[in-house]
Amino acid sequence: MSAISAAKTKGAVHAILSFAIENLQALGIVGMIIVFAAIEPHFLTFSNAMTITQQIGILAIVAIGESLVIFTGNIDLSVGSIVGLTALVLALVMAATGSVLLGVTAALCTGIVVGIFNGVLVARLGLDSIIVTIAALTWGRGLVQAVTRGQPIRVENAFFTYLVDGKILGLAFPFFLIVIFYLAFYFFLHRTKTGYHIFALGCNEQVVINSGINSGNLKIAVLGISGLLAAVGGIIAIGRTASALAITGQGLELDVIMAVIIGGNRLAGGKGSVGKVLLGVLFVGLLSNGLSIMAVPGTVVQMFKGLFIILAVLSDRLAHGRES
Amino acid sequence: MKTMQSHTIHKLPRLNSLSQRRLSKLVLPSVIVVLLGIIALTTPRFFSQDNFIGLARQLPILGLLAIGITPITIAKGYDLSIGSVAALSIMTTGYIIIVTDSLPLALLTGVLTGALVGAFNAVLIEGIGLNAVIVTLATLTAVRGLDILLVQQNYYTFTEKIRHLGLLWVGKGLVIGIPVSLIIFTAIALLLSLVLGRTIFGRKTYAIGNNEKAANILGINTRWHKGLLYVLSGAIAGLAGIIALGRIGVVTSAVAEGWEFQALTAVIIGGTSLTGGIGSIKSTVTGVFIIAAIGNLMTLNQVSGYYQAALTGFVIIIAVLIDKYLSKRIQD
Amino acid sequence: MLLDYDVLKVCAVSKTFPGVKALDRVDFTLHRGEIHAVVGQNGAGKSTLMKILAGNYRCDSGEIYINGKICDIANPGVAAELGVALVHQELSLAQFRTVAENIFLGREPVNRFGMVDRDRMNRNALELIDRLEEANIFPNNHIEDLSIAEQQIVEIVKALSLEPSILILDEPTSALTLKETERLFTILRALRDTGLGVVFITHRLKEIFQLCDRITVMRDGKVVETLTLNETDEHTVVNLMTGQNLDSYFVHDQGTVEPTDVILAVAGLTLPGKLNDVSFQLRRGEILGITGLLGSGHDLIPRCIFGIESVKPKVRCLGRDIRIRSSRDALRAGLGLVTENRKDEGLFLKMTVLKNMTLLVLHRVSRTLVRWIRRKKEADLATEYIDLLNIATPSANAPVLNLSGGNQQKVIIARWLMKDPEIFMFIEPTRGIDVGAKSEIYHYLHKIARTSGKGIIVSSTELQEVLGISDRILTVYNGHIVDDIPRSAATEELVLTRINGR
Repeated sequence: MSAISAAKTKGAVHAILSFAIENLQALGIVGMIIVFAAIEPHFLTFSNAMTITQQIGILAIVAIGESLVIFTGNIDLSVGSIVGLTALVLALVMAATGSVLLGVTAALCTGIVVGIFNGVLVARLGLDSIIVTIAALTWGRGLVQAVTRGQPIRVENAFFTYLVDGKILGLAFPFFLIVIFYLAFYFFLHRTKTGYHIFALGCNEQVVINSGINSGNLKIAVLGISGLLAAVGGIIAIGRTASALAITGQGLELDVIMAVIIGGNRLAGGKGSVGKVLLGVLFVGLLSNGLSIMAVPGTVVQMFKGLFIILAVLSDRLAHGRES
Repeated sequence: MKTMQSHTIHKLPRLNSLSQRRLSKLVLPSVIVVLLGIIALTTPRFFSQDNFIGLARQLPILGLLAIGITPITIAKGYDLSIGSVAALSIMTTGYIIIVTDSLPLALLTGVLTGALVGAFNAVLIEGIGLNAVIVTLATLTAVRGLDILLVQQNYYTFTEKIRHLGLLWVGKGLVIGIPVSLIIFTAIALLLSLVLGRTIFGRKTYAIGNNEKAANILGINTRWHKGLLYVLSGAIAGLAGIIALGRIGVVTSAVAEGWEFQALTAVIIGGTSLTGGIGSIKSTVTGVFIIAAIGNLMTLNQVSGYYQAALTGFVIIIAVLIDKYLSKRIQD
Repeated sequence: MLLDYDVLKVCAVSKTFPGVKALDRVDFTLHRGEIHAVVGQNGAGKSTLMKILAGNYRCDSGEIYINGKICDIANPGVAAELGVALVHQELSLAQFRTVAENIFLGREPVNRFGMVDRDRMNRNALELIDRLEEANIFPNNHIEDLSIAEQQIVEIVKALSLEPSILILDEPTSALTLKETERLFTILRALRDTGLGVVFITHRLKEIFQLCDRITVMRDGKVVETLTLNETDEHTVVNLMTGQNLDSYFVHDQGTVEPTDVILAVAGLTLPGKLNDVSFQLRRGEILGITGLLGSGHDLIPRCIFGIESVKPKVRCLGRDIRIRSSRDALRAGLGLVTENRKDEGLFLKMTVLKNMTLLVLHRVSRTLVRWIRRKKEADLATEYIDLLNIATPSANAPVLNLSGGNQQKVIIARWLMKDPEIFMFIEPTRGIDVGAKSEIYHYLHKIARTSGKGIIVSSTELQEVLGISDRILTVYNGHIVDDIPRSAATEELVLTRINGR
């Protein structure tokens, strides 16, 4: 419950606790910045800030798509595999035609198609989004591994490298990408009718149906957008590594969900904001960056990621209560 | 409230008896078996003793994982961490056997490793009440990270191959031509099947999966019970790791990737419903056979192993669809 | 057809669900500018009729005319267009959204850029709220921060914003205080005077006479009668509501209960917001009835005692003081509870009749060491009780799903009979059950109490049932026990009066 209602019904202590939890991420971010800067001064430099922007580029964009799905009360566990799949498609088309336009279009289409496929299974056939997207996670990754046979497929093209390394006015290109996408989706989620309906769906599906809104189409739409944004992530991934790998995007879904929840959005849906997603992404990004600057090995980071997800769900439970 | 759906459901004939439902449950496995049979007949090397032995050696590991998660899936829980658990158990068992050369101790370690992770899951999911899918996915990640880390840290210890004959025998040995691992699997499967089907514990498991609210009212401590089921699935995954270690012969962390999804597929395809309360060890074993056969046939026909994973994903969808379809008709 | 007179005309509408005929050729009219009460027991068909009008269901046969034109209410969207607005019994709002967002869900006003015009939305919402002269609710409030009464007003505002010609309210006052109810009535009367047709579903006698112009009584999917309220009196209405005489289905000479030991004593039971200082005693061999209006909390009393609500009461049971923290404690103390919704909280629908029955007594049919269930013993036990209670099932291994409501309830009763607690508690024991099975169940209840010397508590909203079976009746109003009526003094009117607070 919100801090206000907590204050009304459960008294001062609960209200303070709720407030702290609601703003934990912001406090956490501030705390992290202080701790990391103290341990490693390089952390607090402009160039590192740009590095962070580059590192969180994929996470930030895919997280927006995931948050849409979560806001409706569903979940998309296939985004990592979609990133890998779309990167693969891009690499293959580039290898065959050399055309950036064709490659990007193919990648984006792949993402949308997979997303809509998942959406149809959920909306029209009534399957649970968890299972449908786990299945997609499996078959998506399987396809990627099958086609690449463990070998990277190189993509040598300045366009993609620019996406990651390019700079405009000294600011890294991903920075602009993030700004554009977050602004766009801010308007979409918080200013349009569809955005309103997305949140309402996460609150109470029956009310949405009774209000004459097509809840099935909404679900298909959000999963489609999630797929699309994962495809954008796949394109950026090509920029990062100049190749499509079998493991591109593996494990991303957990990072993304963690970011969304740590930001303070309700896991069960209905409540949240684009700003909170950004907060969560920053949190995860700062954490990863800080740990890597301190030369913490990847395996330890992975362990911590797992634990962090648990902390994230825990804080979600405390802040937002059980799913009723 | 079923609004639009109620209109279409009326047109379908009702499944009126449990036996009818049981028969329908056999549809998917039967169809697949027939298809596989056809493919098998066109694959000459399938029906050879060598192939069967290889199959029989591979099967128990996946089989153990699958029957391990069967009880918790029946109770409407999820355990997606078992792959990483098996991997971790490989490491801990390997460590103990290299360092102490004691088979009983190593076996105990492996199972205990799994049980501990299971208990961790149990506390988070049933104790605090967090979402089972997310928690076990998180555990999957964290434990995998831990495993890789510890294997790296103890690099020198693990470069040795496993020399303990007992352990190798568990993984690769034969008894009158039958792999030891298969015997172990059969024994555990039988035991679990009896527990689920004939004991009070098993009855409670089905009740919880069927209607947790009602089970609580009738005095069953559902949280405690489900917690135990998480420990059980962890422990059995630990056992699977031991056998895997015996088979591979060396400790490595590059194992068991994606096994949890294969195991879940086997469970669903065999007939255990994700809507809870329905399923059995027998049906899971059928599912395991099917998955193993699919993999085997693919390998024999020189289809890349990677496509298997892809297929698994699609199979999950089909299995869940059929399960949903059947549940809808029966729950009307 | 009086095109200008009736805003709604329902002709011979029927609706059947698998196994049950919910509506049987129902005729119903709603005049312009009237408040029309619709009453009936649970299962009478009121909800189904309203859901058809709201577009959630479609009728199987019959016609519906709105403002003189024949209509096919295909879905909620169409219903809204036709001018039908339904305020549900269970609040259906989007909890985390604001008042304005809820009111205009699906119809949000947009500016020329296609974006939601939040200012206009809030202004319109404020205007609508003001029309009801409600000063405490603001468009930017989040629903989760509002009280139940305030949430209900939001629902009404939302319904009214559709400019309906027909407003349907389903048990709107069950969670309201007297003052809030008064407010609601003032609003409704004003609306009626502007020509709105209001359908008011309720059980509350007082409200019917206070507010409504006409009343339609439904029973078993049919309309029993429609009356104009200022041409009739409470007595007639009560008789219509309670329906045909079920006397013959009860045990004729219930006999008197010998004063015996108290087996259950409850004191000061309080459930914040629902029950207040409930105290009573139950004697051996006695059947104690507890009744009240919907929302009075009477059904919560057995649930609290059994430990499945949030309060952990201390009771004196069979001579010992016990704190009941969970159903396990309750079971150990010798209590048993049959809840009112067997599908949700009683039955294991995918399991067989046999397995549903023996769940509480498995230790009796198993070998202690390994807890191995002895199938033959279990089957024999089940068969015994199937015969005893005359449960109609092809076999003990039939899925319990296929049994009729009455037989399903018997399975649950058999389950508890097997367990044999000292105190049996039932909530709505014969809900949704045909008359024949009802009668059988009443006989068992009587037998359990008298012959076996158990204590029985029956919590029910069916007046005839409570009157027919209880040795004493506790009437509950607004969470308090307001009277303790012995059988000899119990009449329909007295009980109805008490549960309405007078």
